[in-house]
Amino acid sequence: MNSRRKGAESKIRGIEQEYPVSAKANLNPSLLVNAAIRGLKRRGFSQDVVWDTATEISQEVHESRIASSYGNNGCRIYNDMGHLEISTPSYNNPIDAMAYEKASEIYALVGAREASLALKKEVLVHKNNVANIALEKGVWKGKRVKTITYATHGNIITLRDACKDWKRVERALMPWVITRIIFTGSGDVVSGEFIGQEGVKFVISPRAMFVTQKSSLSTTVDRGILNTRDQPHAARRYWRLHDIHYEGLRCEYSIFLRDIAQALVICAFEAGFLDDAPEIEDPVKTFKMISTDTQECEWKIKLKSGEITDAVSILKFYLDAMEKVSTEYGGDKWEKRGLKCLSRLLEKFEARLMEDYVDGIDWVTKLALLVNYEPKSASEGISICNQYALLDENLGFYLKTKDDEVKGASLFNPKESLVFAERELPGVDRHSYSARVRHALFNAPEQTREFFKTEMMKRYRAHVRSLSWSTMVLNEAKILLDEPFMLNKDEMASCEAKDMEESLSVAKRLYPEKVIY
Amino acid sequence: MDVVVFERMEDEEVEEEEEITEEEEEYVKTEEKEYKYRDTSKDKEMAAIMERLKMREKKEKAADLVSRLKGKKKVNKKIMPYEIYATSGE
Repeated sequence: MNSRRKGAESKIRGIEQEYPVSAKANLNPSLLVNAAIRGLKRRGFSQDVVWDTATEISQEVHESRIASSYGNNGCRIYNDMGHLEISTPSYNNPIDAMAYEKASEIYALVGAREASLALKKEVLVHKNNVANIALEKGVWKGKRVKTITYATHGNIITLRDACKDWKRVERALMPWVITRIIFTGSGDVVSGEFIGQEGVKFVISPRAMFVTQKSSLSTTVDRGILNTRDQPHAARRYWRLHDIHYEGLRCEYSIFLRDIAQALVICAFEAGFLDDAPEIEDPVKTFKMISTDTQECEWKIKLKSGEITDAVSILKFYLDAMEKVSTEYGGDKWEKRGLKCLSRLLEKFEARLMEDYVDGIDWVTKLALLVNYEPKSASEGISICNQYALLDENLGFYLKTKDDEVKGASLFNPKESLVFAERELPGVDRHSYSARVRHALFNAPEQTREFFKTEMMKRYRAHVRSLSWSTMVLNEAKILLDEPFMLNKDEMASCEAKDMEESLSVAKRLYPEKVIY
Repeated sequence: MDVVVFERMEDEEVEEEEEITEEEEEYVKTEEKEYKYRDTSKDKEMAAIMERLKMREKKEKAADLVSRLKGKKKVNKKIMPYEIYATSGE
């Protein structure tokens, strides 16, 4: 079971993406999101479910009142303050990270299309983290732009013991969150007001611009670089690191690299290899400075020791720690490939050869689009970034069995992204990857507890009273799914249960204390 | 060109290029000034010069990023006025 997994594959993770659903007609965002959620159900992508919030120690009161749908692949779908929020099922490898992110995009698109049909209005959905609004309606020339933000949260289960001392967490992980944006930043334009100028400014990480402190519990005001939410979605010996600085990425390469690097960094953190991480003198200011430095790309950092270094050097410290932990504890094929890719990327970025990452890294790709389209106004720059984030029929590319033309207006090109990923990520083949995306639409990851939940939902829906990330309540029994890898496909396949009763007795045999009749 | 998308983008470009040159000079001067107070042994001197050259090379390469991105993406789609109407939140 879990004990035989080591290194990155022992780390269970998932992504919460908030999708803005909008229509030109001035419609309430919640109305649009609800129509999208109903549409997904109508099309057979999801089912209504009572989400068992009582078992999830929530620190955000509004969360207990959210109505949820359960996607056929194990994702949770809900209306979170007027955004279509889709939380992927949990997985433990970078290929699933890519596939379930794409499946999530396809769910969001299907929802928006269904909302369009139901409301008889054009409804659009984007995957990004900022909306830029002209303060005087329709007047862009006034140059006053307000930028609002919504989130992409990354989650990774770690050991509670490792997180007991929050100062240790800050020391180990804050420089990582700050510097990783040079390959995980989604890139976007934000109001020039962030840097005391008019118009809009292209930044590497739009989310970095909204940070005001080192750590915070709140995710909506006074955001911290690290989030202190204590809500493990698992047994108390775990801590779910709730990372509010993931961003809405579309390039497969950067999704892959972010996932494997994050998992290895957490392994290194647990092993104590990051206890002597470089200490940044002013983390909040540095985060923003790196994000806005798209011109010279110096990414200069002043350490508490007085030494001046840069983001690439800090990332090399983390790469060393990742290599060390991978050698000592892990070393599966994805770790090795991820480390090789990160090492290569840092060499290129050391020489500031970022142009080699067009179609691989989102901020570089968006910058390339801006450079080549040469926008003549703030509104055009905003439109280019929005058009890249637009989810439209080009997602159909993943659903085809052979290469075809990419359709749609979106400036994100899935074919070019996959060609890049195939070239840079050994072992990634775009044809088998597309098949994986198609599989991910209606099937849960096989290595985690999501497998059991989705199978039970598919076969015995009428018996399910409620569920959550770590519980499933049936008419017949309650199953405590507080170990992230329990009742996965391997465990369940070994028993070949023929009906629900047999499935439950298999689960009871494997986990006697966790199945309660 | 800094990709700060202003209403008058072309004017900004010229100003930005001038700024780079000034900053570059200023940076080297500061480095030299700091260097005078450091160890004066030959090895250290060489290391400092190499480091400075490396930094300059890095800056030159980075400043050129925008021009090196030219032609890296096709401009074959019409830009639509896509606006996102969304609420703030998490």
